[in-house]
Amino acid sequence: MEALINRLEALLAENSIFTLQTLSYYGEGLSTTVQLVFISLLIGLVAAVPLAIGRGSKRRFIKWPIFAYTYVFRGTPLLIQLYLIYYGVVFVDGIQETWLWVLLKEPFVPALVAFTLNTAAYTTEIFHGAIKATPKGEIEAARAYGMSPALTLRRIVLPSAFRRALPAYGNEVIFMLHASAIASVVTIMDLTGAARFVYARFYAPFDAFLFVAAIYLCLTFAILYLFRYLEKKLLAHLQPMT
Amino acid sequence: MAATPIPLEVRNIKKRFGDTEVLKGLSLHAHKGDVITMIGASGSGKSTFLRCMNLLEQPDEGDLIVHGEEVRFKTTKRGREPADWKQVVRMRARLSMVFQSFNLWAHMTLLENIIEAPIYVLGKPKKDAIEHANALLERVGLSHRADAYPAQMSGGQQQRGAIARALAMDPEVMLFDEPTSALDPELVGDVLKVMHDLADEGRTMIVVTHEMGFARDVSSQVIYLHQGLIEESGAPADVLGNPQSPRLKQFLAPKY
Amino acid sequence: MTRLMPSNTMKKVLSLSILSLAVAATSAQARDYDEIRIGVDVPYEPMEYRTPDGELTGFDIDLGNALCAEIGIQCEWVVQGWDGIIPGLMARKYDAIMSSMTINDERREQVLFSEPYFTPPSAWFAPATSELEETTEASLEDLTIGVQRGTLQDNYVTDMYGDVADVNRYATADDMVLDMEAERLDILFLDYPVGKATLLDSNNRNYKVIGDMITEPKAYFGDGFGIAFRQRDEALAEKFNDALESLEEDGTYDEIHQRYFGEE
Repeated sequence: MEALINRLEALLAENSIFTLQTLSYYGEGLSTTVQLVFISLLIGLVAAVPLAIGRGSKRRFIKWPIFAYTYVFRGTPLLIQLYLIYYGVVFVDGIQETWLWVLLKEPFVPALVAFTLNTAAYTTEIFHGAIKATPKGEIEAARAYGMSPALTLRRIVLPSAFRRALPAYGNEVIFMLHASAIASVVTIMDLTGAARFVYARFYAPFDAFLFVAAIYLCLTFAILYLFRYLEKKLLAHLQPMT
Repeated sequence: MAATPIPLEVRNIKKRFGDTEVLKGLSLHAHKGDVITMIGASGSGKSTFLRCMNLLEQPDEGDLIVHGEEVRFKTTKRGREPADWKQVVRMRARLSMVFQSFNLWAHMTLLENIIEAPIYVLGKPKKDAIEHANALLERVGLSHRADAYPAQMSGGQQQRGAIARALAMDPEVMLFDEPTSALDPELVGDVLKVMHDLADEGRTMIVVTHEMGFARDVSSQVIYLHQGLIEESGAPADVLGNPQSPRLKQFLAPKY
Repeated sequence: MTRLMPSNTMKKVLSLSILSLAVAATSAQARDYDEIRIGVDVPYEPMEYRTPDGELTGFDIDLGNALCAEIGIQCEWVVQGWDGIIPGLMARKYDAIMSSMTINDERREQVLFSEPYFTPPSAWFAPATSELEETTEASLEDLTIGVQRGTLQDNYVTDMYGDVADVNRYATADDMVLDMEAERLDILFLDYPVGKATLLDSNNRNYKVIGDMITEPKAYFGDGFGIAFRQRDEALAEKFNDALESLEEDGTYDEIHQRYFGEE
């Protein structure tokens, strides 16, 4: 083991750019990117379910605020949303004195908030579309058999809708991974931030960015693999007879 | 010494869609074991009438009494609505419906389709529900398709599966809304056979259909609807064999 | 013998050819520019920034214009973000960079520098309420330090304090000052004149310098600011060096210096 590490260090020492030091930056970047993307997707997904149900409600005071929210967050670039939350929040008088400042001082939480709000909006629309597309006949059958609206939602509409939404949601996950690259504009050392650092320090754009592109590709591949597995399992009901 | 209430009774049902009055005052009594077939041209209101019986459509006027319990209505600004949705749920659990387009739940296997309502509406334990479901699948000849998804079954299989699903609720009355209209001719026979068996068993059935053979051979009563009103009603031999009204004569006459 | 001697017409053609070749030769060598574009990263007050009307101004701008006038060529300023400023030179988006760029060995590998024309120190700036008195590793531990990405200050801070403190790297000095005002940074490190103009002399006036001005070690601080050229443009660099010398001799340099750095 010792010998292996020495060997690796020797190899790395030969090249001036990919030293242990810079690789540690890439490592930090990878960890930050994965955290940002995973946490924002998770919270966004959980929030999107009730929001999507509410989006289809008949009551105006429920569906209009939700529509306004998804419209704003899908209608503006993520970069602008990030700027507004990161830089804009300090214009609230006295924000630095509140307990919130502990969270808002570092760029990670503002970025997480921006990403979460963004992905929740897109996911809400995806689910809403899928819910609307539930075959009316199936809902009618559920009612005819004595299922309450809540039970119908839980047992028939949502399972049907989530399966329908799977391909579109897979796209959303990949989109968020790549959108997270803008985190470095607010000083976050994510994957792209690490690449920018190496580029700025060593004037080596190809080395710096190609390496990071390769890492993004690997992450994307992992996501695709996951979703293909899920589609196989959950969309089995649509497969033709073998 | 109260008389056993009849399974289903509807009185003077009226229904409007916008400005058009589709049902103009229809009444029906279903005694235990009755097989009532409703026939009529498209637009005569027969499907709408059937759907009023389990309140998939809300009648604007009229009474609905299921197993002696009268459904309570209230008037809101949207029109007339059931006053107590719990009562509706309870009542619907007694009436099973079989649809023209089967309406099986696509993301569940056939077995899961059949046990779904018994477990979640009637509160039956899962084991019992599965046992009962397997017996029903046996009856309709689909035991080998228990784990198939609806998309993997033919139309006839799906409809027989839907009938099994309807039977799983142990209903007082079974409502059939043009059950064979969406099937290829070869598959119609299988479904009709199952329905015939059910009738022989003594099930109370109300069937909307175009299958005159079934109407003649299996039903205890035939009702002919025209433009929202019952034109003729009676034993199959009378209504179909000896139609009185000219419209019914024309309806029954061979078209080609 | 007569055949070896060129005729009169022949002589004329020959001399003309030799002359034009000579001219061409000198041109190819000198690559005479009548008009050049200079890349600059704006804003970086007081070195290069915009007036409220949008005009470019600053020490670099004024000195650059004076140098061009001295050489006798037209200069056009091209605004370019710091991140891509050297690649832009290579891609011929402009012919020189005059943007508070420190001469150091790493950059020398890519570009040719003029003689240094200005050597400001760097300094640490913190809010006036800060309790920091010195900038040792111990005193800056666990603090958040701001620098502009890709500058000598970035390299210096990363290497000296990267292990003990959080280093936030910004694309522009402006973003950095913004975050300092938002209280997201405990301290920042940049060229003293710029920090003075944007922090000390600004409306807020509640910042101070911590510790001394820093000009060492040479590995980071290099030899002061220089004008960068593509490595083949030696002749152009020479012209600028000569012009700089002239301006220093005739007092123009001092005048411009005075304009921006006052009594210092």
